[in-house]
Amino acid sequence: MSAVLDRAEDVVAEVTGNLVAAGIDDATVTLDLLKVPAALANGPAVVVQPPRLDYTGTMAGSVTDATWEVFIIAGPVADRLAAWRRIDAIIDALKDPMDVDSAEPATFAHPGMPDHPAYVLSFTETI
Amino acid sequence: MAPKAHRLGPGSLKFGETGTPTEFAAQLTNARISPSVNEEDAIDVLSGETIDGDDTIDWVVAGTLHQSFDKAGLVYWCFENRLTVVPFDFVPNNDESDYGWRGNCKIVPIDAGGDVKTKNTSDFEFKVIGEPTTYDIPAV
Repeated sequence: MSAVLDRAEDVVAEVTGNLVAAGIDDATVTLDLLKVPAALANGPAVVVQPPRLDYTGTMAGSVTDATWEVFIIAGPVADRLAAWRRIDAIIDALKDPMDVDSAEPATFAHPGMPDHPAYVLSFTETI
Repeated sequence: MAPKAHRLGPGSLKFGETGTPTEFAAQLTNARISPSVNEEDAIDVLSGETIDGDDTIDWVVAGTLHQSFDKAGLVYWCFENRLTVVPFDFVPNNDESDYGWRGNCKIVPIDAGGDVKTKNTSDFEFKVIGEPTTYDIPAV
């Protein structure tokens, strides 16, 4: 398996651990965006996306910086404030331990289901 | 002669005694050995001619590095070795360099810290004591 994919699985584990530590145990954390519709039936979904990779030159060769985007998607769609509250709790649980740089509001659209409130977290690390 | 322009790196910059040098290439985003020529004014003599002044060249080993806050990093090493004179060995490109540079330089402390949530860098400039020398790198 590639080093980036290995790290992606580590990020999933770290996100899961931080959510559990914050008392959030109904969220599904995954690398697979296609699992979101089924996951939303049980609670919020957190999706770790493939990172942007930047290569910085050093005298010894290049260093890889990975910028990760993590989607946080939650319902219910009929109660936007309740969905926002669930997303907010997840952001609070992740922002410090994951050293998050930004959180952008978004909407999750998927064929066959209503649009869901979402946020996109972003953080960068050297891998 | 066909023009050539080699990229800097992957290369090597080591400080310390032969046999136990410390390699810092992985932290460096800029590395160079730089001369500065000090030109003394020519002296006019009675005949109307001039005598060249005594020019000198000062050298520094300089560059920019990513800070790391562990004891294996150059920031800590520079602090621990401040004001000591140590050998250096600089190879700009491991594959393309026909020769490297060696000499002795005086270590001075460098910046630690900077902007929060940023991978900070520090500039360094170590005065070369005496003249550097070059040495041939055998072709592989």
